Amino acid sequence: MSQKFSFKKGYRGRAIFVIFNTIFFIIVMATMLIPIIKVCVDSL
Amino acid sequence: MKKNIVTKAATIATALLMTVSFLSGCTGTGTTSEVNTDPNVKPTEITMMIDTCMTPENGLQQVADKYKENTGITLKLEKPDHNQYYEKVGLAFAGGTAPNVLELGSIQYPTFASQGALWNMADAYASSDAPVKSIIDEAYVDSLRIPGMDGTEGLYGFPLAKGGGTVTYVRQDWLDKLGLSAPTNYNEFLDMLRAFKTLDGRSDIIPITAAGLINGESPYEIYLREFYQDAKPYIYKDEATGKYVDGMSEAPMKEALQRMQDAYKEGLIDPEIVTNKTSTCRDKFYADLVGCFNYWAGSWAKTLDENLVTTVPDAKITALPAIAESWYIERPSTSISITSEQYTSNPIGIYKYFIEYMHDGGEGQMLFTRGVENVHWKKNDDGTTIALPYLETPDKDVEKSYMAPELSCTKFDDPIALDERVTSSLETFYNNRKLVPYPPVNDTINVENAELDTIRKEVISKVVLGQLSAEEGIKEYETRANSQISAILTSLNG
Amino acid sequence: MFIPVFAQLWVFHYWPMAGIRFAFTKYTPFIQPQYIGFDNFTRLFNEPRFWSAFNNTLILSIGNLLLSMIFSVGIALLINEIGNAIAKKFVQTVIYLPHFLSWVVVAAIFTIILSTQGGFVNDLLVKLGIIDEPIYFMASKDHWRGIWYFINRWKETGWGTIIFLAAITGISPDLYEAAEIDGAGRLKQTWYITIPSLMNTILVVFILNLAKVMNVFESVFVLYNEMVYDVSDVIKTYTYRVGLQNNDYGYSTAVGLFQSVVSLILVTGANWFSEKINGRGIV
Repeated sequence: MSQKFSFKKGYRGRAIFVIFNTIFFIIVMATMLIPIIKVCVDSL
Repeated sequence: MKKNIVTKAATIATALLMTVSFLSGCTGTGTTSEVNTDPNVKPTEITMMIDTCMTPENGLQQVADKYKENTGITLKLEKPDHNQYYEKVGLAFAGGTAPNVLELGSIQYPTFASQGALWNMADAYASSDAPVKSIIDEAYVDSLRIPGMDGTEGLYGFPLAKGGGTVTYVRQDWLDKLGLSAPTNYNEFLDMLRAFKTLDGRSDIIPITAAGLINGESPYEIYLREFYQDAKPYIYKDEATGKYVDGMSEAPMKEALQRMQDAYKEGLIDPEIVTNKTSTCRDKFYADLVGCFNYWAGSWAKTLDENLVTTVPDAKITALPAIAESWYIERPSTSISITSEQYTSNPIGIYKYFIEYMHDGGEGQMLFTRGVENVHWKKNDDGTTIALPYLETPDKDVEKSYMAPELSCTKFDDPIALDERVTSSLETFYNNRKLVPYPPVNDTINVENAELDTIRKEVISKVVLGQLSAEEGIKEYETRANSQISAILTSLNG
Repeated sequence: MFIPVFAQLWVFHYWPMAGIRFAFTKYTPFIQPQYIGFDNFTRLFNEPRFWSAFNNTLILSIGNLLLSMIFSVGIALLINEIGNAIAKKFVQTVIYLPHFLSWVVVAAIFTIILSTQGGFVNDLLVKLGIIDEPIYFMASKDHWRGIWYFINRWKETGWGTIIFLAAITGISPDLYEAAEIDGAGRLKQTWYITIPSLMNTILVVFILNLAKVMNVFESVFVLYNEMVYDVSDVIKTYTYRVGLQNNDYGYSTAVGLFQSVVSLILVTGANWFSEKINGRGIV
């Protein structure tokens, strides 16, 4: 289920959601990875 | 139809069998054969549960084979995972497969003795004229004399080695940089810590750290010796009155708490000492963050130095001599015990041919300290003896097969030279240390002690971290632990 | 075919239940089991710390469970909305990586991060001016539980999303097409199709995890310390400390029996509740 990604009316809501979703997951992934990486780097 | 009957039958069988096993008791245990009392009868086989020896991968079996070669006795060694050792020992006894010999330390030695599980070797030791008698340090044998099941004192185990203890290691290079010499009293000690705190204008230095404010088991006060001084945060026997008292309620402990609280507030004690594990404080030490570190004297001196030097090549570690107001604490020896007659049919033979052999200052001691020739050590052509690399981890040389050479409780002419760092830290330790006895145990203590230890730990931490005053802390301890303390003291003092 | 399964069930699950009898005995490595009636339970219930531990067990475990349901379902729904298939797989993988670390390692990681000396969190908070002095989080009664919940979620959320994502992909696309034709947007589709279809899975996961609520041990053991025993000590950590010195198998069996009874009550209760609300349970 993928809609056209555009800011035109009708598709705008979806586009904004996709942007926030992407940012959200980048933050979540960073939260998962940074502690692991930090410790690996520190212990080398 | 058939399926129905089979299912029904299976269900009934299940229910029946469960009921039967539910109601039945346990199977019997132990041997009921005749017990030998002639010390000259050699055992044919010895079973042992062992903890602090080298791993099987490093050649433990070769040690057992060599023992058989030398004595003709089959030695069956079982080495469970270290963290599960006492669990496995308990299960062996419960399951009727108790070994002939076992290694017992900390609270387990007096516990097993009080339950009648261990053979009293006092007479065997007294009447023996084996080589070990002339070379052993009697103090360590005496540290293992404790009450048995009937309350009378006996010797329920033989010292494996000296107990050893913690010493205060210091960054000698920092002392040199500051132009300070080793502190001789508490005030000089504090001044040294204060000087460390601002060394080189750094703000991340931890003047002194340890693996906790108090140990989780006896001996309790092995960390922060300079602060505890003469305080005894546990129940002990007052030699003057012969009665047991709780050292927590006495003046020295209150003063010790005050010292620690003040030093913590000043930032001299590691702010995170309460969450330190032994590994975290070692890591901090290796990361060039720590000035003073309470840690085990002996072989650790070498390890700490080697690891620190990889981060800070010019670093130097020495062990501080104990300050005037304090002393170091030596644990009682771990014991090698022979299980009692219900588990072992020839305890006296095992005593003579195994225990005395292990401590004979010659062939036996070499085998159980350094290992097997040409497997764990070898003689060079020029007559010197050196340790060989571990079989499993060849980047390190074999330190010991079972008994630590630097902690030998007998006069043992070890042909392999000990590292200077190891011997000097031990020398500093032994110059001023007290050997503490095993704590008393009985049924009441077994039940109440864990909670008492917990309350004590909580109160000490709260006071040192500044949440309670020393006075309030002791009062809280006495209130909360009142039932445990009075139950234990009553059981001990009668 | 049934016989090997039956044998395994019998040997490993039913026959050991006969061990329950030890809960009513005094049984040490040196003493054969002696029947002592309910003494073990009397002793257990009279320990003041036991009730505090029981309280903590419920608060920590059930709280964790509720958070787990909310986060795992929520994140599963959001992952489902990622358009790019490769990105979707990548995000999934990264999020469940922490699950594979051992609790000992995770505790070490977060102790460093939350440290008062050079710890990332304290440094950031001080720099942003939110606090003046570093907070000793791990030793703070006010913060410990929140941190424990966070670390649990950090470690286990990703793994929890796997089941829900699998369930979501099992929902028939026809339903979505029909909804779109009817004019429902993504949000309405999620609310009226995805979530109701997931309800069964959510219920099963919830009730199964409820049965394990009493078992919390390792995550607490590696993160607690004497400053926070009051808010962190759970039944298993409490009996661990007691059991170290006191080799009484009878007592530890009694504690285990108590835990099992509580779990049984929780699961049966939740199932009954779910039947009343949803018209169906899982047991």
